[in-house]
Amino acid sequence: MRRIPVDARRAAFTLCGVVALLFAAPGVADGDVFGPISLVSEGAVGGGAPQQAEYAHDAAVSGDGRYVAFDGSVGGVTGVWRRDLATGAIEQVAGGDAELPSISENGRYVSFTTNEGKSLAAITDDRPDQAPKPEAANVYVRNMSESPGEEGAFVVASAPSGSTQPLSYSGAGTTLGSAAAGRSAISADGNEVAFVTTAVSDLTDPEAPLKPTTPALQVAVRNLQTQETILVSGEYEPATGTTATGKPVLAVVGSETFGAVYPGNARGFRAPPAYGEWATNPPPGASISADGSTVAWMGEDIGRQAPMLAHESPSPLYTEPLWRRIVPGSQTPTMRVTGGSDPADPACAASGEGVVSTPPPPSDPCQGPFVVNPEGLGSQSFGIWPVQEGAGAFGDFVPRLSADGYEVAFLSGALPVALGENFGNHLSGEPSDLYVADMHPGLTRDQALTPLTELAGAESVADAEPISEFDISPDGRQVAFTTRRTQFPLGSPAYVSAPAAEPGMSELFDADLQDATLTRVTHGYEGGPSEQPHAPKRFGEEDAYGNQHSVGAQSPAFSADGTLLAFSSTASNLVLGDGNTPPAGSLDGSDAFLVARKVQGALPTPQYVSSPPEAGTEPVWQLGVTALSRSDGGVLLYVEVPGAGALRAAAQSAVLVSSAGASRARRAAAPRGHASRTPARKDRSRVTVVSRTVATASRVIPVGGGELVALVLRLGKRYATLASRQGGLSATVSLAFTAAGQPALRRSIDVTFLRIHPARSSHEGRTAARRHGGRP
Amino acid sequence: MTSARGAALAASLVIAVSGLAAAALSPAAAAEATWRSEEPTPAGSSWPIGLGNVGDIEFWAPNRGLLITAGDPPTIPPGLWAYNGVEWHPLATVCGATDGRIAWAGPEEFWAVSDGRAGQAGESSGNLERLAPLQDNTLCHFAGGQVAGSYAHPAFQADSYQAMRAAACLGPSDCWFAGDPLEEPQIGAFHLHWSGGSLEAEPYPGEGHAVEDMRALAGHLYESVRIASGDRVAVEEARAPVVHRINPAEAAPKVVPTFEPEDENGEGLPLYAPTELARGLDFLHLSAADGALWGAASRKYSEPEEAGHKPGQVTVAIREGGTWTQVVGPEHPLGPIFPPEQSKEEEQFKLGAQEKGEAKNAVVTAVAAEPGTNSAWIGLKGAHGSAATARAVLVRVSSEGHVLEEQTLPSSREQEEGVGPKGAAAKIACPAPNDCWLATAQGWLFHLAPEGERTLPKDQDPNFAGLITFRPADQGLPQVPPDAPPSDDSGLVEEPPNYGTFAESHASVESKVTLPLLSHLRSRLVNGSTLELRFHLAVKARVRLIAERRRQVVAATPMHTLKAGGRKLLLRLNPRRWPTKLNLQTHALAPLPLVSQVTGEGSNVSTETTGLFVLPRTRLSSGLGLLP
Repeated sequence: MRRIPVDARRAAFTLCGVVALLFAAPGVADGDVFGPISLVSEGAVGGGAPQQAEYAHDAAVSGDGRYVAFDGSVGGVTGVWRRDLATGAIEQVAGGDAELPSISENGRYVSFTTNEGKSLAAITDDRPDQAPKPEAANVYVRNMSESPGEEGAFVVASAPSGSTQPLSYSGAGTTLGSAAAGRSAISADGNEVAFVTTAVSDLTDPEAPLKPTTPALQVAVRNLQTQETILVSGEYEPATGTTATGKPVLAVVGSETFGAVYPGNARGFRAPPAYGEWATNPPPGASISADGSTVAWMGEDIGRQAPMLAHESPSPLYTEPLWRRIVPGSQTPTMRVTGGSDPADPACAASGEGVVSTPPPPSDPCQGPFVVNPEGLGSQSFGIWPVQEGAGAFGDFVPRLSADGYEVAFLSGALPVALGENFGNHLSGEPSDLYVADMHPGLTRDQALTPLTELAGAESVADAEPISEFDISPDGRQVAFTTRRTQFPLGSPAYVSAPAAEPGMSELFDADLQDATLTRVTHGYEGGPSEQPHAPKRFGEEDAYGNQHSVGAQSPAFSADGTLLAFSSTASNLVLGDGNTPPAGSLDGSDAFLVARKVQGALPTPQYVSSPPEAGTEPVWQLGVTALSRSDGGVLLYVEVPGAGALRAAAQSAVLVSSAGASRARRAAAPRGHASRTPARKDRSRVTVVSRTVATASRVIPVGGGELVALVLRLGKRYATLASRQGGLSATVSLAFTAAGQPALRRSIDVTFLRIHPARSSHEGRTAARRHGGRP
Repeated sequence: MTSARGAALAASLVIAVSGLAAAALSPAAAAEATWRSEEPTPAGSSWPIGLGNVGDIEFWAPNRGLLITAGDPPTIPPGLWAYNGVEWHPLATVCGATDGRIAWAGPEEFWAVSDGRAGQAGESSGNLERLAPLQDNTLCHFAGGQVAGSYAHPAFQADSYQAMRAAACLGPSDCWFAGDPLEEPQIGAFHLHWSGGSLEAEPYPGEGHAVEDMRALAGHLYESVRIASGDRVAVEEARAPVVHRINPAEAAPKVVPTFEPEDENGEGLPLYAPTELARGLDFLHLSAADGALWGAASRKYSEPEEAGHKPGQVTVAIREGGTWTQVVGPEHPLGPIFPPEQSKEEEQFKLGAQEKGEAKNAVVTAVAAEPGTNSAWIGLKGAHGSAATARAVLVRVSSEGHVLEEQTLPSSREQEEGVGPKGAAAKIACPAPNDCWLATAQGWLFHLAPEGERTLPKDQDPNFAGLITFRPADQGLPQVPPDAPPSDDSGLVEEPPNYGTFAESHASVESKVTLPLLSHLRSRLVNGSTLELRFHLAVKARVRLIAERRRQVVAATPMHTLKAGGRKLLLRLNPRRWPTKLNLQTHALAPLPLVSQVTGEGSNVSTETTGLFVLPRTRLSSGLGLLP
């Protein structure tokens, strides 16, 4: 028998403790955690009592997290509003029909689109706009440091370069003019504003305002300080590899004209959406990065704006997200973010291909990340964003940029080539999925692409509902999006939240690109999914909201550090007290909300190590022993002694002894079993079990004799044969250590005296058996 | 009655008397009363929100009021709220309704028309499944600070409860509830009558017009009906009565109360223009005060215009001294209600883009007679546009038909303070002079009161102070047999009863009794030898009447399956073998409802045995002499 020394066990326990600490402290990797959701479209207007907005859409949070801007109705007054998160006060930014706000980092500047530009000072008075005077839509910036009536409070951004008056439009009426995307149209310092013209304007020919000639759907950026407006979109000049300055994009096909920007709406109706219809029909727009360096938009007529393969000539209907750096010193021509071909891939350039093969082999170096085949189907290919009506046409098609402009988040209604399924069957028009592209130089479009969502099926809402609206955090690490989809099959980012049992309202999700996790952000304050009062689900319906795309969360927006996420939602159960939801409330009951992401800081590996055993100057006065059975029938004791002294070991065992006849002594030496086989009646002897000391040993340990002493116990002659029995002889060894001036130490340990005979071959066994005339 | 309750009632009386005195002696003070939002802020919220669709507001006293709401979930659950003179607070998170009604039966007892509870199976028809209707088709009886009784009936049956739009009581043992027409092919309007011990269906026969409102006045109930094309009636009438009078039970020769068409001279109420059809005018909203019954109706926009007939318009009639008088209507059209400087407000009543807005084309949403003023507040809204986004419009009309004042809410002062529209006027109640309440379509509450008198002595009655969260089971809930073994009530494992002392009983234990299956047993002989046995069944049951003579069955009815309510059995007897014993065998097919003794549902009902009945004492003229 082998025993573990006490001290060795103690050491093992200590080690286990350390190991346990090492595994327990860091925790299992988990998805991002978001705090409770707060309703921000409520507060006191003009020092009055707190009240909740009748409705609020298009929430945008300032970079410093101090303000949230939204459009909606508060106290029966419509317009764009700004809520101070520190004080709870709500301040009107612009009255009337102003909508789609974007807010600067410190919240001082808010851009928006309105068709009551000239009336802004008068109608921004916390009162209902009783007599609207609509005009052409334009983009304005409100300086919140100035009162509405003060000079400089409202500055028009959609203005010709050098002018402080709005652009002049041809046939704009009261619905068209210029528009800015919500949440992403203003730079962090509030100095640059990106906008898109939706009517023929004098953008590039300001000297002739009465006869505007600049075609509609051009991208421009206004510098508010210098009052300079630059045309961002322009025709690509293959000869120089640059974007022509001041040359807007125009294509005329029959009676239709095409500009640089995809206007939205269905294929059959090419006009941009009318002002006021944007709630269900997203307007065209462009995003500008927080540093003002980069602009992105969903382009159409791509062949006129960016490099294509030599023989590619896509229809003007063909769409792709486009990107251009405009900051002096790092200007670029307009570049394709992604698409159906990648002429910039060095391997493609080396191959000399002029057009992507149909169907494209996977190894084709000129094939872009998506199956859109810009050339093969001519006018049937709509590119990344489907123009036709249907499921894929729903969603926010304006790309979003990181703060430095190099990360571009975008939706695609075309399937990626890498997906393989349905290859070549669906060129576009699938329910949209979300992607991020890295625009740093040196990457092929395939290398730059990161898919964030992927269809889990073909038909159901749970599997294939389009991604609706989205935003990318300034550092490019997170992408938030909204959808009613509940299944996210991608392994990276891995969906780490509990999937909803069935689709319902649109929920807000957050994809952390660094952790490769996908988390559902929105939930009821009592748990469960986002909800609002609704009729019971009807027979055959997949969800209880009548398959409406727009119910639930929309318009996510990040703060500068990515820890705050603003969004709007029509759900009524996100916050206790949300009381504007139909049927009790008016309109759609949407509200602006804010949720904070709990940043899990990088946790260093715990360095805790168990403290070493105390090393006292005095040795611990204790005795330890380990026993080992030897094959010769002895027992080897390793005794740990505290110092010099006398050590004595005695083994005691129970043996049978006979108290009568001459054979008593002989029988006493016989094993217990043997004795029992001898009938006591016949020889008249009495057999009893007694305890006998069967082995002893002692040792005197001199000073400096060492702490570990080896001691061998051998059975006395009378008992030696018992070690040869089957199982040997069990005994208890008692140790005693005595030293002068110290208390005696005693220990005991169970041992077995077992002699192990060398194994004999079977031949030898059989021979021996025959020799003795017995069986082997 | 506890001293607290007595104090509350006394306070209410003082308030009412002082209000009357104030109205009579100090007209200037009445003029100072102003409307203002007094919306409660729900617990846990930092801002007030609408309470949801308020179906009804009713007051027992100025400092004891109730409202029933569909709620604004999840913050405001469906249920009832109570006003204690100081504030509105949640009273019950059960018994809410889509468009509920409240009927006060006593100072601490009331009924609520409530939504049913989910759980009933739908009705399948091919691939379509019709869900069991749940809206406003059940009743909750509140008493003693709890829901003492809950009444519902399974859907899709001939006697299923219909949605109820009207409720009123003449006393604790005489309450009426009415609503939609009966299910086809029956002709009539659905009515339930509470007689103090049981709730019985008492349909208004012959006319299938939906009952929309009901008020008590001078010992009678008056109900108004909506006349619509397509209503099933036994006899077509050009001018069907739009108001019925329900006579109380004790005043009628029969047990069952009677309905009387409230019809002057057989020509109907003085509501219509000569060429105006009854179905062109919507139902009369009713309100009673100071012995007068006010009725206000408007053009029914759901009914198509018919050539040759004038459409309806805002019409107000008053019943005083048994006579109805039209004060606003075709004979006295409602003119512009806003002053010239607010003429744009009138535009909300226009019917088409090219037409001019006229108040007479408005939709009447509510009426409330203000006690002591000979006037009533009437809620108006435009025929088109969302009621949820509109502002509330009220006019106060005198009994002579003059528009005394108009009010738009939120008021201009509140609008200056940033308060936005809270929806059109939906319900109004005036418990005292210069004391009215308005609920808007969003469930926002506005209060008319003089400044400085906006709060009253707080009602301390504990029955209205707590939160009621339990609603007892009823027949509208599916009866699911438990999957657990029944509790062991054999007594084998129980402690022996302690007969030594009287245990102090708890009110909650005492207040619940099981309603007997049989009640109101009456028998009589018809045609000399046919025994008619009338009785009331509390639940659906199988019933058989057996007549025995010296342990021999001499007559018996087949086993009938009878639904709950008043029923009768006929048994023909042989005079030569006249029974000596009657045995009514019963087997209940549903759980017997638990009712409260406090409210009378249990205490007023005597339990009947089904073993022996006394036969009618009568003589036969057959020459056989006296019957045994």
